[in-house]
Amino acid sequence: MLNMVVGVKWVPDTADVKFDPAKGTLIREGVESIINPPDLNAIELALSIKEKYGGKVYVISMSPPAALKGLKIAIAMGADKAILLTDRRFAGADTLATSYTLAMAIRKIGSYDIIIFGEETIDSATGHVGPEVGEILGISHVSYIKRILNIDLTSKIIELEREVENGVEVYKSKLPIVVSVGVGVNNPRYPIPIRRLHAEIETDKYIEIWGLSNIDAELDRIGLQGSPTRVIKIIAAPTVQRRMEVFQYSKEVLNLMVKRLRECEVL
Amino acid sequence: MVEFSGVCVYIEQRRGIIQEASLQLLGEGRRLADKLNVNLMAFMIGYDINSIINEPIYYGADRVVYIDDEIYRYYNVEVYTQVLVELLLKYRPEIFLVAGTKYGRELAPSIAARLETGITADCTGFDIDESRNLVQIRPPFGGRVLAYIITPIKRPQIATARPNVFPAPKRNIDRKGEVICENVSIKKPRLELVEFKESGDKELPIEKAEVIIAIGRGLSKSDYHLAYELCKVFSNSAVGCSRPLVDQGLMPRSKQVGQTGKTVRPKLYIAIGISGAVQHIAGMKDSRYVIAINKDPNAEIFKFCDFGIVGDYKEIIPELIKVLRSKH
Ligand SMILES: Cc1cc2nc3c(=O)[nH]c(=O)nc-3n(C[C@H](O)[C@H](O)[C@H](O)COP(=O)(O)OP(=O)(O)OC[C@H]3O[C@@H](n4cnc5c(N)ncnc54)[C@H](O)[C@@H]3O)c2cc1C
Ligand SMILES: Cc1cc2nc3c(=O)[nH]c(=O)nc-3n(C[C@H](O)[C@H](O)[C@H](O)COP(=O)(O)OP(=O)(O)OC[C@H]3O[C@@H](n4cnc5c(N)ncnc54)[C@H](O)[C@@H]3O)c2cc1C
Repeated sequence: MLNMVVGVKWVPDTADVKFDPAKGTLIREGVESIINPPDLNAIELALSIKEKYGGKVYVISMSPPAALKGLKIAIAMGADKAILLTDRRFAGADTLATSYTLAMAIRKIGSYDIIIFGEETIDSATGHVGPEVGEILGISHVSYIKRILNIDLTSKIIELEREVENGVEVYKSKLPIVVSVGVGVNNPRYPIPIRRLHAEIETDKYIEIWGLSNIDAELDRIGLQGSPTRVIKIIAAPTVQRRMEVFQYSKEVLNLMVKRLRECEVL
Repeated sequence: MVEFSGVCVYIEQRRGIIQEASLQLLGEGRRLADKLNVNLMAFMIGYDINSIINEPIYYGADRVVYIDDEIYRYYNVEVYTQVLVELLLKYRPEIFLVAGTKYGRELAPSIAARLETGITADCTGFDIDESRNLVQIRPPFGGRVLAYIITPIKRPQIATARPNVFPAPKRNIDRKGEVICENVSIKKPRLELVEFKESGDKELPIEKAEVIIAIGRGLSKSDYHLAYELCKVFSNSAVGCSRPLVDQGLMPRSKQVGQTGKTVRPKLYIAIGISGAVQHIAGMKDSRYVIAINKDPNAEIFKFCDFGIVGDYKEIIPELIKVLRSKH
């Protein structure tokens, strides 16, 4: 029996996010939110471990209440329980404060063996949360894992593989451990409609809502005041002006292309 | 308590070879140190690294602090975190820069969490503000915006930058500096590296290529040879790819361009059968000239190219090879 905890971030679908240069803010209205894509792979990994070794899958998200929708999807995929960490005092957290809050909540869940995160989000995309949660809990952590090779339930030793730029590494550690996965490590299963219905009508049975009072967290380590970093300004990224000369294919087009490459001194 | 002062760059080496990305950060580190009027330091960990410990000085460091022991032969996040935390607590730099390789992106937040300090990921620009804070500029949301981030109180201010975002400074073997050998005692790690299988990929790395032929899901596997043939028409060229090809095991991870792969800025980028997803664009948008070949006239990639050809690559590539060969 293994307890898995999966971190899920409810993010705006960045492909649709626009920027308001006048106000210096991102326009999030009308933008769909989704489960951060690799977090679906994290859920899938947790469910597959459960199927192979037995256990329970918890999903946790620190977010405004809108993330409830995402947690219902996680339940419909097969997670046993979800926790929505929501409290105004959690707001404005940078990665360290987010990781601290998540770590304190995970500690509150009690027993945990494998904590699984996405390798990075599609919005702020730091990839900090996995390593930071691991350090705060004082347990092993490995980012960018490709697959789990073996888990010995008696000795509680896990063996896993991950890919780096110049090769593949195999690691071994005593549980508990934090790992992170990217899109493409597996194929996330689809939500099961009947479970989705259950999550909808019996939400309380599957999803718990926790605030600051539910976890043992120090006030000065959460939210904005617990965040060592400050975003001071956001501007539209300067874009390289492209010529965008687009043609239907013909042999003449290729000659024109070579001409352009010469003009631009690429050839 | 001793004040935090100075700029420090972590020099990542693998098997005695310093990562280019770390040298690139020495350039930024030097600039920031001069602006603050402080020293530039470099930390290095490894085994049998004597022959390379002066390199950071040649690239701009004033002082190198290194640790050389068999237990550091291979990277292990738990071990390296302990060592770097010890060094940071002893030498107390105000700024700590780490190359955003896979190791660096794991190691740096791990150190930040232990020191309970702030960290900013994947910076593409740095500055110093009037309060001597490091202004860290980074491109979240698939690179659509630039966020300016500071760490006003906590020290050190930790930041990572992806490879090839900054140019490497010139190597000057006449530069002199101080070299200090350190020793720290560490706890036995829970995490153990059992095996390291080096990939046999001996081609020119895409980040070093002047011309990249990038292939996507639009290409059938049986046609990959076309991309390699086109590649051979150019010198200093390499074949790259979009992420799905890597995920499906069709191409090695080292060839992936994009948000979760490599950032490249070649002279010429030819995207074939690539749709132009934000995550892909994030890795190649700074290329000098971009050519896109796609059969779908509405493909996003055409918004990010200088020259686009709508059509079937099967027809276009062989012809393109002929044309280039005759005119090159
Ligand atoms: C423009 C902008 C730039 C920012 N840059 C920085 C920065 O450089 N440094 C910094 O410290 N903070 C930064 N932040 C704050 C950061 O966005 C938040 O702390 C965020 O909650 C977590 O960071 P992330 O999205 O990068 O997570 P990542 O570390 O990329 O997430 C990895 C994984 O952790 C899990 N996870 C992440 N967030 C949650 C959550 N809320 N609940 C459950 N699981 C979660 C998911 O599994 C996710 O896949 C920035 C914010 C903005 C708006
Ligand atoms: C968190 C996250 C991180 C990601 N990171 C990356 C990353 O780092 N890099 C990356 O590349 N992707 C990344 N992706 C994936 C990205 O979103 C896209 O799915 C991916 O880039 C699409 O790859 P593609 O363009 O090769 O394939 P597709 O989108 O399937 O496009 C194939 C294209 O080929 C064209 N085509 C088909 N047949 C022909 C023909 N005969 N001749 C000419 N054209 C043809 C089609 O018109 C189409 O436009 C990431 C996704 C997520 C969610």
